[in-house]
Amino acid sequence: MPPLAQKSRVVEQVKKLGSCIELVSLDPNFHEVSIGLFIKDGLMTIFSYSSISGIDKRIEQIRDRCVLLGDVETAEGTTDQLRLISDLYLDRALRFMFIAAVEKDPALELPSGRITAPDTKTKLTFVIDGAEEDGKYVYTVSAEGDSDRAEMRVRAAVGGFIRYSNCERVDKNKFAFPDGKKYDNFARLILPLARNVSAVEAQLEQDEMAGQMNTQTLGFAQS
Amino acid sequence: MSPVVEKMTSRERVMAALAGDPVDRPPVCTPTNVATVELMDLVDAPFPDANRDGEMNARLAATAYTELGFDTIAPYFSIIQESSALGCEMQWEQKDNWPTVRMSNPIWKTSADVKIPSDFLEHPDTKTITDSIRILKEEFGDEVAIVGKTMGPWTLAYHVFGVEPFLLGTVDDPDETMKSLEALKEVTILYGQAQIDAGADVLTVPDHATGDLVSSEYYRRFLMEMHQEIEEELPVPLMLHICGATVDRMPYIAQTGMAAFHFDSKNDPVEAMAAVDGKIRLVGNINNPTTLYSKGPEAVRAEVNAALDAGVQLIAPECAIPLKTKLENLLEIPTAIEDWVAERGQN
Repeated sequence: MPPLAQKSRVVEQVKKLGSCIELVSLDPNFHEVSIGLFIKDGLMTIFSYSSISGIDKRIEQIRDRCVLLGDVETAEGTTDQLRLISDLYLDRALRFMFIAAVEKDPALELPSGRITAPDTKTKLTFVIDGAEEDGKYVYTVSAEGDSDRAEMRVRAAVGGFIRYSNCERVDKNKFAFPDGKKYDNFARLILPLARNVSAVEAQLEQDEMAGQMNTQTLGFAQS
Repeated sequence: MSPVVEKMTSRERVMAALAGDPVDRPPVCTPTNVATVELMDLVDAPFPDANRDGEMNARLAATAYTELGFDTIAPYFSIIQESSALGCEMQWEQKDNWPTVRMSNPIWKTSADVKIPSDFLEHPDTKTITDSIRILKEEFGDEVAIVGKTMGPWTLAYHVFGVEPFLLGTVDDPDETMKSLEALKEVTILYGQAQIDAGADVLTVPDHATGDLVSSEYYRRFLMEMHQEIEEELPVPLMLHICGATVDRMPYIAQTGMAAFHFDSKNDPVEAMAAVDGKIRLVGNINNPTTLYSKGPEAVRAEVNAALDAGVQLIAPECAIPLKTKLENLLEIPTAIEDWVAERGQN
């Protein structure tokens, strides 16, 4: 415990919030405040240490965007809390969901309907359809458009779902979430990332380096 | 340490540990800093402004003690304040990134160019830190150790001459390199003394003669004596900080007379303790990019325990922490030390 008579605000808050799933250091849509997604006993809370006027409304807005972006639901009677819709905890998917909820322009409408995304390496468009197969909900990835690399690209996209959502490969063009349940929002969220893992990894690495102090970031390793 | 040592204030604990005297428990130290984006929001003191305004700087720095329970407050967050005052081109960045010197556009070429401006200590970017130290000293008195920071000549040389020209110069004209370092050493002493005058209890001296850039022989040849001289000039305990793999130069570092060496997680704490052979205290060495940044409190605790088991005298993150470090991980450091002492007794 901090030694001053004044009680640490952080210690109490961290106890209340639990573990940090993701921390966005600058909210581009609200005064560049930092804002985090935390989890304790299955209950997720969106929180910022900023006390700028309007922060509560912004948190509610982010919370509501999370519900549209991921397979999560609001915790009844709250404006800042979420619950998972099942026991499955998908760390990477939740992190991507939260980052998108904070960083994307809140005025932009989120996609709905068919789950599709253009390929970044060909002129193909990926399409995902889901259906019950042998007691589990299986997602099939297909590609619309012309490319002789279509099969390879579909297989790569399935690999992306394995990487970012711990999915199981059912076939070269099919995957299922680890508990075999339906998660359409996560499928839609992950598809644009799954189609180009190397670029996503490079971006994640760059994001992680920001704010780190070492000989590289200080420029001492340039020679 | 001895089990009969009565409960100490944070300042007493740090000063005793740096002097090699008994302590009630190993201190949690911040030779560099523990600012995070969340703490910036908590006290409304974001980067880059908190690096350029003494009052904001003090507000953010104090959270190490008031919010996280560390035994030190270190208000100099970055490594660029002197270089800015010397005239280097700066990139102040934004809230979630470190200010840096644009070393691709160096301001000087030779030792003859090294001139300390007459208003160096009055420059807003050097004054920020001395102002902050005064505020912190007034606010906290002798409760907590105030750790200043003055950059060593090697790091200043990177900034003012550029990394590549400076390192090439060490090969082409070592005598000229020594002249440059001698001239820059005056900056180290001048700014260190100013921080002592403002109330700093301890100074960190970062001097980036790191293992991935220069050999241990370079350290012995160019810096060991210079660090001894700095230690003789500045009348408070000094903590030398060098990032990266440094075990090979620790026997030399141990001869500098400095109170402690702040070491990186690239060095095994048991090996590091053997390398310094009791001649200097060690501060460190909780890993930043992996453990504090991306793992959880359990991993932090394991590293704290490993450092304590090895006999490391002051526990600290290995360097300035990533600005997005999770607070739960920072809070785990003092808690883990308390638990280690309770479970195993003092080492």
